[in-house]
Amino acid sequence: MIKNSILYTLCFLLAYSLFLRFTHFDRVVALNVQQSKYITVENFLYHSNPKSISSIIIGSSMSEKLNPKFLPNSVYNLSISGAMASTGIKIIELSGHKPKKIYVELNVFTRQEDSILLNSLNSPLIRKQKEFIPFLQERNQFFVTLLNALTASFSINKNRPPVSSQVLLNTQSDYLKKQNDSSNFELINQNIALLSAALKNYSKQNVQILLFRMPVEKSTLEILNNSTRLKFERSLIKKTFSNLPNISFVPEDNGFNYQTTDGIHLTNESAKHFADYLLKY
Amino acid sequence: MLFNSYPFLFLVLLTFFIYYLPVFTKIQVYILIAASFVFYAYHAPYLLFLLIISILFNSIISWSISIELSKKIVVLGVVFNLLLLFFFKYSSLFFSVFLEIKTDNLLYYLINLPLPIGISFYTFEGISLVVDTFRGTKKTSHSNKSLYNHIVETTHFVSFFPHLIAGPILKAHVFYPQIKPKFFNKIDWYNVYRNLVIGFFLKMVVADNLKEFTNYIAYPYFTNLPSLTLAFLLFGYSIQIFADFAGYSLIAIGLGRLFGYDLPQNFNFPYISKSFAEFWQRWHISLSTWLKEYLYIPLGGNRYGSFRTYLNLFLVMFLGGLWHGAGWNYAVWGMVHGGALVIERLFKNDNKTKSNFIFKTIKTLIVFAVVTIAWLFFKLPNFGHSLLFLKHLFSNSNIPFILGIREVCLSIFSIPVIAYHLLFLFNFRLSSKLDGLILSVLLFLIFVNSGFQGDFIYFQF
Repeated sequence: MIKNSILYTLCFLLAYSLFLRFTHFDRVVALNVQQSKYITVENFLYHSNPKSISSIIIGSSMSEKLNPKFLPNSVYNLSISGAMASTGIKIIELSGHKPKKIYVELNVFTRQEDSILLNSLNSPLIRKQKEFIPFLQERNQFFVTLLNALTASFSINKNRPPVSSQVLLNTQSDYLKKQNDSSNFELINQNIALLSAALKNYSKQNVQILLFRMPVEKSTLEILNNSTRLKFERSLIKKTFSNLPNISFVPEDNGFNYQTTDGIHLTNESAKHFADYLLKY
Repeated sequence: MLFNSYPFLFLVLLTFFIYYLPVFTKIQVYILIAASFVFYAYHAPYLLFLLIISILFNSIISWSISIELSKKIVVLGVVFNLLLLFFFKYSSLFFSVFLEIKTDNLLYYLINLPLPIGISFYTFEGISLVVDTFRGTKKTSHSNKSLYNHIVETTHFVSFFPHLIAGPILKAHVFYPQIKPKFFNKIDWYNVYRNLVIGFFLKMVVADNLKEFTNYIAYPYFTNLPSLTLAFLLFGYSIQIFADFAGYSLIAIGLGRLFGYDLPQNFNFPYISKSFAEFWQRWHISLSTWLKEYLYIPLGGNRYGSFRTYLNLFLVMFLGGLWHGAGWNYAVWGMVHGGALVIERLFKNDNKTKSNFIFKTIKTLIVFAVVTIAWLFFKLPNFGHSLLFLKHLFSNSNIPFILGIREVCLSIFSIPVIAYHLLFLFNFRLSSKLDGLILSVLLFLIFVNSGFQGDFIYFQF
């Protein structure tokens, strides 16, 4: 019985590998935030073509909204939901890619480094097994494939509407609490220092670095502008990155009424507008 | 070391290979002890020191009891184990409430040491050894065994790696008789395979996937979610905690059998229970039988009238709750179960409806609902947050509910646990071919749909 059971399993794995070999989804929808993070990273490491990529965008879920369909093929969006720009720069380092330009989102510095993700990428055993055995990659998980096959068949509209005023108030109320939490200052300091060290390294290699902030809902921006955290963060960023060769700031786009799905993350229309604006630089 | 990690796989394979070499038959116990120490010390080697002290003390005490049947020595042994547990698990809470200790004090350093992993389990096993020896239920007359041999066997009993960190809690009189040479051709491969596949499936596919969604049971995330989504999350957590712990226990049983040892069953389809008393006969059986044998019965059990029985039930569940951790949330969880057991006993009667299918189903659903809501106190360390969650569970009905990926995934990953219970409930017998095919599918899903590796929930206890 055990022999047969193992044999059946091997047959299932083989059949599934063949299925994956001949199936392709334009965009893979993750089941959860953590999985979305790994899919972004694994796509970049195992499925991107370094020669065709001249620019890379790194950042958090905010810049992740800059959907690849709004970007030319030469621009790769490596923004990771649940992470921040310093994680993105480490992944570029690990991959060995050397783009001409790196767009760095400056909105999120209050997260701990995702050591589990980075350790798994640093482990040669895990990296190689995922590279050579496709069904071990997150985007090829059985239920992810099933879900994507279903959403592709029924062409479900994943475009989320702008935020309602009630949800916006709740989000902003949570946001306010976080903004004025002074315990974050040390973490911000540490994360900016880490990012700065990595970016200086690239700037020395003549890679152009463009620092930008993702726009948010106007009312959220007012809260942010009045927060002690953002004032501290902005002055530290200015002090750290000003007057460095190959590093420049993209001016904030205040002339457009950006809309969000939750007060922070842009709707598709607004994301497209900002992508066009960003790529002018 | 996690069961679902490469270092563990390497350790098991290496140990297995050496263990069954005929030339090493006489030192099999030493091989398992060495492997267990590596397993335990892998992340924090200094904790091994405490484990060894506990083992040595319990060995000497139980040895002394077997020579001189003294109640005083038994009390000394039990008190030592309880003090060890109290100091490392509860002193931080105790001193923060009753005393102020300066940060440069050695005591401050000691009580703020991280909780030694598995301490709740191995101190209970120490108590079991001491009490069983005194009662004579464990055959430790040692007529033909030296103190040295007794220490070796006790070390093996406590440190045997499949159960060391999160049980099942072994009783001395069950384990010691099994310590004898084991042979490769006697391995019960079918049960090894079955327990390991189901165990790893429950942990890696069900629990580890569900945890990505039940993480939303955290303040302040739950405050903005609709009532129905909160109910989905709570249901998902109920399934997750079962899959996580039952999965661990099945892996432990499978590994035990791989090395020739029968570890006791720890879960027996708990979510089909029609009463709270039945639930505790099916959930974490090794803990509930331990509490019954070494706490409830010594307290008097049901021998001193109704009031004393209720009090004993409540007290045992309260202490059982605190066993899980030094926090009021665990005490409240214990009190909810204690209260439920007392109320159930108060209204126990033999009415005619007891064989009615609908009535049985309603009772099962009520028990499941209360047990599920009580898990909230496990999930949220802050008692106030648990109450806030309950408030939002009933008051967020004005937030529109959208059936999204989260709710669909919570349902999909819960299906195996529900099916697992229903198959048993309706006495559905699988042919060996179908059983093998199902195991193949589970093994396939372990490869292609495991969640992100997470600690076992019970490791924190």
